[in-house]
Amino acid sequence: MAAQVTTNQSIINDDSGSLTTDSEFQTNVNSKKRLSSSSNILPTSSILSPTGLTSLISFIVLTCAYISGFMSRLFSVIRFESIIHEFDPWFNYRSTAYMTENGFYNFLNWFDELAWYPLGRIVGGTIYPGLMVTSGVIHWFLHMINIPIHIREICVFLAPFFSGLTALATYLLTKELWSRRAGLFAAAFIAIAPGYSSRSVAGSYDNEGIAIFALMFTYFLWIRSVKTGSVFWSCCTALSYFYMVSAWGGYVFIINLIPVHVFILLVLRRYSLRLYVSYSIFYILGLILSMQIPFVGFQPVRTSEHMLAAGVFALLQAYAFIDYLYTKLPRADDLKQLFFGLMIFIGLSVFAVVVILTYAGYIAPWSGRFYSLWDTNYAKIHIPIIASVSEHQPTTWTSFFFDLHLLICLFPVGAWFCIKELNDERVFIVLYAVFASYFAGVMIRLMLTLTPCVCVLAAIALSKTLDYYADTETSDMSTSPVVPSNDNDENENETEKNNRNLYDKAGKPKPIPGRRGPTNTNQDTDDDTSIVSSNIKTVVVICIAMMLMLLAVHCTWVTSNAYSSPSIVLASYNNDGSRYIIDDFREAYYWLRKNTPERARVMSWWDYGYQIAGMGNRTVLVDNNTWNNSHIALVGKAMSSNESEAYKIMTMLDVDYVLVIFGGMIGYSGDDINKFLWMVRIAEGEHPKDIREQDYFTENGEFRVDRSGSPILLNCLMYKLCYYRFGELQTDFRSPPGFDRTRHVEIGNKNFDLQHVEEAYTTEHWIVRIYKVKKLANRLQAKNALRQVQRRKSIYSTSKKTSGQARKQGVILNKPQVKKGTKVLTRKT
Amino acid sequence: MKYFVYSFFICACITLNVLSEEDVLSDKIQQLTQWSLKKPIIRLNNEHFKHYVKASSRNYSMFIMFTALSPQRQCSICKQAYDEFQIVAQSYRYSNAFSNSVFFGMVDFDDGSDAFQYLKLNTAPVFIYFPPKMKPKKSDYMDLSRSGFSAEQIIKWIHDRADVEIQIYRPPNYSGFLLVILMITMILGLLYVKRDSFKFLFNHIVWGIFIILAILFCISGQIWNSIRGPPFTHRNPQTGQSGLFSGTSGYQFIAETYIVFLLYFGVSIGVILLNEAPKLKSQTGKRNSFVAAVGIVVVVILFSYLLSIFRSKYQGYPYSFLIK
Repeated sequence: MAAQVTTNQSIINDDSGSLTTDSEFQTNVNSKKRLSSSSNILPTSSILSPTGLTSLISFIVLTCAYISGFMSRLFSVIRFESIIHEFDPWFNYRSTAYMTENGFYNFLNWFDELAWYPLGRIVGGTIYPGLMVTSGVIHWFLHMINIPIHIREICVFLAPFFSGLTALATYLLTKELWSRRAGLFAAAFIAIAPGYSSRSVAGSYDNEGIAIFALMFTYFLWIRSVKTGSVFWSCCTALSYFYMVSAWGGYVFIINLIPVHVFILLVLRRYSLRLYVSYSIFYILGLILSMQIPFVGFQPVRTSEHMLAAGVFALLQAYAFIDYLYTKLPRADDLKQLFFGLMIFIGLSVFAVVVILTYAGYIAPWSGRFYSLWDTNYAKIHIPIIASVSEHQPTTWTSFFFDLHLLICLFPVGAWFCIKELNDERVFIVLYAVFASYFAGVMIRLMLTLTPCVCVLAAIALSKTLDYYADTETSDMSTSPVVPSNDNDENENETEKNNRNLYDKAGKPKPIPGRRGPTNTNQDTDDDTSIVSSNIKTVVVICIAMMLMLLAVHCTWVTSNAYSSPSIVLASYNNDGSRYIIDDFREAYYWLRKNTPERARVMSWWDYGYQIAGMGNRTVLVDNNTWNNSHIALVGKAMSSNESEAYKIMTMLDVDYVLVIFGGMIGYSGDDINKFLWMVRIAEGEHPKDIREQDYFTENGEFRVDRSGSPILLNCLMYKLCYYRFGELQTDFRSPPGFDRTRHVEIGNKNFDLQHVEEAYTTEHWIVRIYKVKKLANRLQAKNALRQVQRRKSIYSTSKKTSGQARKQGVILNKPQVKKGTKVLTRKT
Repeated sequence: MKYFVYSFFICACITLNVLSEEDVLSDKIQQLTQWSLKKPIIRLNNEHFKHYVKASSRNYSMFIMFTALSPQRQCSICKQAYDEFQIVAQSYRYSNAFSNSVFFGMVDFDDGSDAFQYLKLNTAPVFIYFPPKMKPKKSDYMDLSRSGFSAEQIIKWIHDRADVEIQIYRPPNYSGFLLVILMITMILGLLYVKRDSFKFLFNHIVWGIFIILAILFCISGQIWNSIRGPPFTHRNPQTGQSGLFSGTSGYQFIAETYIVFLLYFGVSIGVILLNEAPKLKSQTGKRNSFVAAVGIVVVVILFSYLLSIFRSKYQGYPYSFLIK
């Protein structure tokens, strides 16, 4: 692409100055119509019209941004295969597949029997359907034009596709806020920023993938409608907001940020009819539209999260009315203080009404998740299930830097420039910056909403700097080829930037020096452009170009190394650098699918619920939609009590199989033992009498699985299921048998037998272990000793897969008639 | 007949005996209720402790705090623990759960050293639960070292032990509230008096600096600090050297975040200098060039330093810029 751009240089050189003028014209119109005299000079003597050329270059850069945004997210597809990632995407995929098979209305009425046994889950009313509908529509469209693509491919590639669109939306937003050049930068940044690509790589089929596009597009339309005050644009804003509501719970961010913007504009005395029109229409339409989503329902009028919007709406009406009176009344200037007092009174009374309604119970108070954003210790004390999720942890500065690199350094500068040249729109981006950076600090997950804002502001800072420094006189032509044509659009944009200074330079001859004045300085003080020596300018441009290249390299590296792992297929590297694929999860789920009865209930920790339902097609007790805390606590209690206690719970819940994730064999750290304390904590929250967290620690308050670990831990179900027969296994020549490679200890409880469950399947690397829960023991049962011997024998003599069969035969043969009957029965059910 | 009389007599005796015992009990409960109505925490001395707590014939349970409040004991946390305990007892006293089966008491070491000896306590404060009719077991001692003694934790412990649900009610701290009111009125008054110099409120520079500091505060990980409470620096116990930076990317020290804060701030200043350079008034333009050069040098150096810090924290990160 770089080559293509460079070919344009010769043409550009002809009518360069005018080009700058044009984009400056844009800028000036944007920033409160500060038309400088020089910008009116529009050349007519050019072959190619300058506007056309600017659009061409913008088009090329945006295409590059789109393509590289799409491409840089395909690492996982290239390395592994086209596969759905992680946990939540599996549910989304499953429901999308259901929707394409059964139609939209059946999907809305879908009662999922595979989840939350025995409760089940009403899917249609508990999800945001935007994602499924989007991919359903694409699927339908492609099939209509006879491209028979499987729905899975659409699901896999949806997020990269939409991140390209996000780049376009960010371009539009930044163009509205600052200038077209800044817009191009912003588009390039957002296309590759790791903070965003972390959630939108191919295969991570989740709400966020499309929601960030909807977010940026809504903000663009909102800025547009504030600037124009047109009904059309505010209707578009409401429609885009509707799409956002249908896609992600993060719409609350929009419905709070826009009112805050309006409110601050009122406080800053920037009220205008444009604002009135756009907010009134947006709020009413958006309110009605958002209530059409079943999951949202009446929340917009009944919960505190949405009350800010309603309050500001009321306030705006009152303000408009008073403003109207003010213009109509004669001698209104004398009553200025009265109007002011009235305004404050109305503001306070609106606030009071909301508070009273909340206390009266008409408006639900803030939900726990929302509240935990403000009071950071709230979740830790009251809702351990929220605190247990790793993406709800606060963010270290390393994460910020890791996700945004150079952009985070330029971010405050962009905010500074926006404040210095403030107008209605820039108030918005500044507010966005402040709120989003706070939220991102509280929860690492919300880094996602901060990233677009950082890209916009960094682009503004950079473009403002380069506006001046990139138009040097000397032959810094040689600097632009320095930038290699990397596959990242960052460089494309860079080249483009340098290009621009090329044509700026050509048009630079003394006669037109005044051009650059207005962009750099809002008051045209000294228009001598060559105040800073051109050498310094060159140095500055080279330095910035190098840092941008570093950014591009960093982004690619992070996306490729940190965010492109599907996490259900693991890869490890041998000493010689060859890759080794660990595919235990799919192995286990496939085993479940093929070897267990169709209605079998599988108990596992909630992390794996969606995967078991999606890949194994079996009923689970709890899953990643953590709507029922007590049910999860019950599973946690079963996992953390001893075997006989757990058996009571398991029979109560009709569990047939238990699935645990164990990483001690190959050193996989995300296993159930490492998550175990959360299970205990969540169980303790509901059953404080039976489960106590401190019982699972040693005397010194440590959590250990070796010999000094607490006896309760060493005998709980989770421990036994993970380490069953692990003591016989020697993983390494240097380590003793039963050496846990994840926690680097020799396990404490080695030789034990399982009473109520039996091993059903263990995957190749022992990552997934599945146990079958035995039926209630027969009263006429013979001595245990006999069975013990038999089972041992069968396990050693036969392979794992067939051992179950052999064992069953042996047991049945030696049992009385009654036993046989129950066995047959259970196999049928 | 004789047997009948005897048996009747014996029955009567037993009944009386039981009655009298119940009398004692109900007396005790009455007394305790009376006390706890007066004061939420019953202060027990040696005799009281023996009579009301140690005696095995109890059908009520007691939460007792063993402490040493007198100043010469120099137990500073005892006072804090006592305040928290008092909040709990107070909330219990005025809550719906208030009944005459659970009481809150305290034993000061100077009043009830026998009680301390009886329970073999040599530290204070200690919270012990005395269940009805039983001596406290090991699990009836509250584990202060793990949970701390905040009122919330005490309530949780009480809920565990005696199944009493207490809604905590902290008496609002009016002093802070009053202080805020005072500050606001002072500021408003100042503004009113100096209402002509309102200008600074409309000054973009002031607001800009304020907002930039707020953003830097967030992105340099100060929120993480306030939630996790890391130490200021790290001191290696063997060598005695103190390190400013933690070695892992998942952890940070307070000093470290301050440095990062300053680095971000420096980079911002550098970029702003770059942009201010052409606007400076000067004859020759030398000054402008100088400022621009300073700007870019500051940006590049600080950024590469930041990158090298990041690199040292993030194992396996391959890139660096100028500084390793």
